[in-house]
Amino acid sequence: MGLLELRRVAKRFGGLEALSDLTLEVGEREILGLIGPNGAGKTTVFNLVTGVYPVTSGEIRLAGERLDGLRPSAICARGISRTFQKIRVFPRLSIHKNVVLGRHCRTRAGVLGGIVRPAWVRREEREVEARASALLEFVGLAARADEEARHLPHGQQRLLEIARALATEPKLLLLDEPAAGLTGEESEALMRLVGRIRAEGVTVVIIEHDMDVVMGLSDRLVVLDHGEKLFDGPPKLAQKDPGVIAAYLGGEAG
Amino acid sequence: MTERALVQLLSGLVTGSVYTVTALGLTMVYGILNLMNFAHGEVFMVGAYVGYFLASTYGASYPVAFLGAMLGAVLLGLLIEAVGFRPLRDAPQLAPLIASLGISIFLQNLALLVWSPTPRMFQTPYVNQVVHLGVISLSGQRVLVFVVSLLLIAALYVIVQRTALGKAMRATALDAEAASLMGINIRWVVVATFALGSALAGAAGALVGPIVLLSPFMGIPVILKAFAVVIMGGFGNIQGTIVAGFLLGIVESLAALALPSVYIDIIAFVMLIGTLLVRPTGLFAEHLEENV
Amino acid sequence: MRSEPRRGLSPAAVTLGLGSLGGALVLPWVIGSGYYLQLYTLAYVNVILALGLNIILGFTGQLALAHAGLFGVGAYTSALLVMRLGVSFWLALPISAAFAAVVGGAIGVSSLRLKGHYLAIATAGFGIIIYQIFANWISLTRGAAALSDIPVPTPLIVPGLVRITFETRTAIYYLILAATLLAVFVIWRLKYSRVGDALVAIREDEVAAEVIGVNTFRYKLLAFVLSACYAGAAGSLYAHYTRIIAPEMFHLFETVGSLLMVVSGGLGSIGGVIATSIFFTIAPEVLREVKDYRMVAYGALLVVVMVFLPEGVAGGIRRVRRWVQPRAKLEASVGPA
Repeated sequence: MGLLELRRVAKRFGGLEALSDLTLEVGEREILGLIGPNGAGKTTVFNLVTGVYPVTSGEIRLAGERLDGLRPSAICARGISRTFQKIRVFPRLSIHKNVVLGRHCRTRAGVLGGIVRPAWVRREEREVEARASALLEFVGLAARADEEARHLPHGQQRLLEIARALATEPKLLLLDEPAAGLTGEESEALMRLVGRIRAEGVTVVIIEHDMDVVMGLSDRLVVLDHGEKLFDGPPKLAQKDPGVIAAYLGGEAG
Repeated sequence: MTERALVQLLSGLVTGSVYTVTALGLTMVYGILNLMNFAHGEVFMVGAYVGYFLASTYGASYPVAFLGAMLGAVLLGLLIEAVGFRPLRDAPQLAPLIASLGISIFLQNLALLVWSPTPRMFQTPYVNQVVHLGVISLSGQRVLVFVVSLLLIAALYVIVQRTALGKAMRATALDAEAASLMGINIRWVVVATFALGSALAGAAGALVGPIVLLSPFMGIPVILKAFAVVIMGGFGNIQGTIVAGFLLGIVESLAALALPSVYIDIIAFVMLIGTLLVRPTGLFAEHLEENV
Repeated sequence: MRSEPRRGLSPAAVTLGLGSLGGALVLPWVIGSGYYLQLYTLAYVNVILALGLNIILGFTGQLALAHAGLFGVGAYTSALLVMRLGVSFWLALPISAAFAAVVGGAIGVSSLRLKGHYLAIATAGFGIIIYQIFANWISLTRGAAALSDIPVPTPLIVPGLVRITFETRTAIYYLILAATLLAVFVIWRLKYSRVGDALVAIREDEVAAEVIGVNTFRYKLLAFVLSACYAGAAGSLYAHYTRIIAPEMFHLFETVGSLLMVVSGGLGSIGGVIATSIFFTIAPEVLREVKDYRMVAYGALLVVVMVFLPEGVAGGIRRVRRWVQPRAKLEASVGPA
């Protein structure tokens, strides 16, 4: 049994069937690449797993426990975190504050605690600050901690989003096209970062169109097209699979 | 008793038609901009006053006053768009909302200052005419309101479904980005939508003016009810708005048989809350389009 | 490397804050206990009211328009508890705040799943319903005839130590000042706490906030309840200060006044909102001739602020500071290791 299991998951939007009968597993500490042409349903998978949309039918389990039906914030508390295709940092908050907010689901201070500020709250705050700073170092953004997130260049906003997602202490990290808009150098740095993330014990699923990144990172590849799974196996074999080749293989890079 | 009920039913159709016309103006703007214009009620109010002044001070005939009211409303609507919505098209959603609220307050109180709080009576030759329908009699003005409203609704339907402008409007409402990529000038669509929506509100004002007393704050119950109709009918949904508008009018009028008048205004609100609770348009449903 | 002042306590802010506090403390000595002192007292009530709105609107970004109604709930509850049930003011105040919070919670549960305009209309509608209740439940509230002769707060007695009566305007002034300081303290603590961060995250990007673990519905409800609590407390203070309340004081229009104070002060700012609340209480009274134009001006100002200065006075000051003292250029970003 894998860390994340999707069992016969289907998603319908009105008349449109975005995903049909999808079954897929993600093993612990694996890096799974999720690819396919535009509209294949990849981001929909992320949205279902994180609870942004409800499933139409089927089950989603994390470490054996069902996730479907839970709010996204509850799913985050269970250990799943993500980044978005269209970057969603908190624009007018500082970089530091963005990452601090990632610690929210792992901390407890409430209204009373915030007003009275007993020792345990102050300690919690110090720990959060330390973690946030450490995470910024980890992704390489420590120097700009106080700048407003919206002023960061695109590539660094991506890093910020990843840092914020890591702050939630996920078991599973979902990255939605993290290399989009990155330069070649930035993409390589991203790949190294994802490698370091996996080394920390986090399982990663990555949606990507950049084939260099996907092939370089993934232990296993799943190919989706029109809401169905076409292929599930080692990346090298995907390149030779006739079904995949027929549907789609390649994006910007060959 | 049934005679009273019948009168109320017909009366409900009349009020329903007015709600529908006003709400249609509101829902059109929502469909394009995804924003509610709080000042729509004041466009209605100004329409009523312009019609009144044209008829009483300048002695214009009612049809002329009516058209003048629509024209005045259009001008006001365009001004509101230019001042309150255009500068804020890239701002977070809260900003145009607050701005339109500000415009609404501004216009109400400006009207209060300029036209004084004295309630005005908008006289037309139809108010005192009586129309007999079998055993029922209605004031001519009410019949006129109903007929003209239906004509306006029909005209709007034709414009939206059959003209190039209407097509552009529908395309923009579906997907503004795609529409502009296909060569539709979004700016003009927005302006035209505001103009049409305001014309409807002004027309409603000029129609209803003779039935009620004019006051600078007459737009407030109207906007709240129009909102209720728009929400019940489904934002941006023209057919739904038509059904909801008439439904509200009829429910209110029938309820007037049983409830004291104070509570009538609350009915719209209760229906609104009921709709929102039963079919909530929560956070994630709206964001569906964003995330994918 | 942190260069932002922690928790809003830059040297300038602290100086300004302490200076204002000093000024407020000696105000009765300086201007006597006449009309102007009453004006400042009223201004402080508006500060509490506006800070409450700031929690749901400024921090959390939700346009909730039931505020004046909740203000009225606090006022009527407190007045009636004291006058009809003989409850002491010191008990009536927290009870009214709590009751307003409960009403706010009920409104919130019904409306907070809605966003933007839907929420604004739903809450405005609730505000109107509350107003209608005040105006029409004559046996309870005396409606438009007004509830008058509300007693001043009962004397504060600590046996052997102190006995404070609130018969004089000066005494009431200090009482309300004390309440305002408490209100400011609480919202300041809130702003720089985990809860405050969560609220702001909701404002910045609700979907992202939810996905990284903030239960947005729960926090929006919390903000709404807190803001209602502030409104209720302000209402109780108001009732026992003006000693006469009528439904028209709690009409939807009055929410616009608070709205302007929050928006022009700066959504989420504390100092800015305090300043604009005081300003918009005093200015219309001082400029007596233009009082008739008050609402016209408010409406226009809302538009002007939204278009030209959407981050309010506080935002304007921040921009000026940045222009005057640009931060030292950081070296080119350190790339990922």
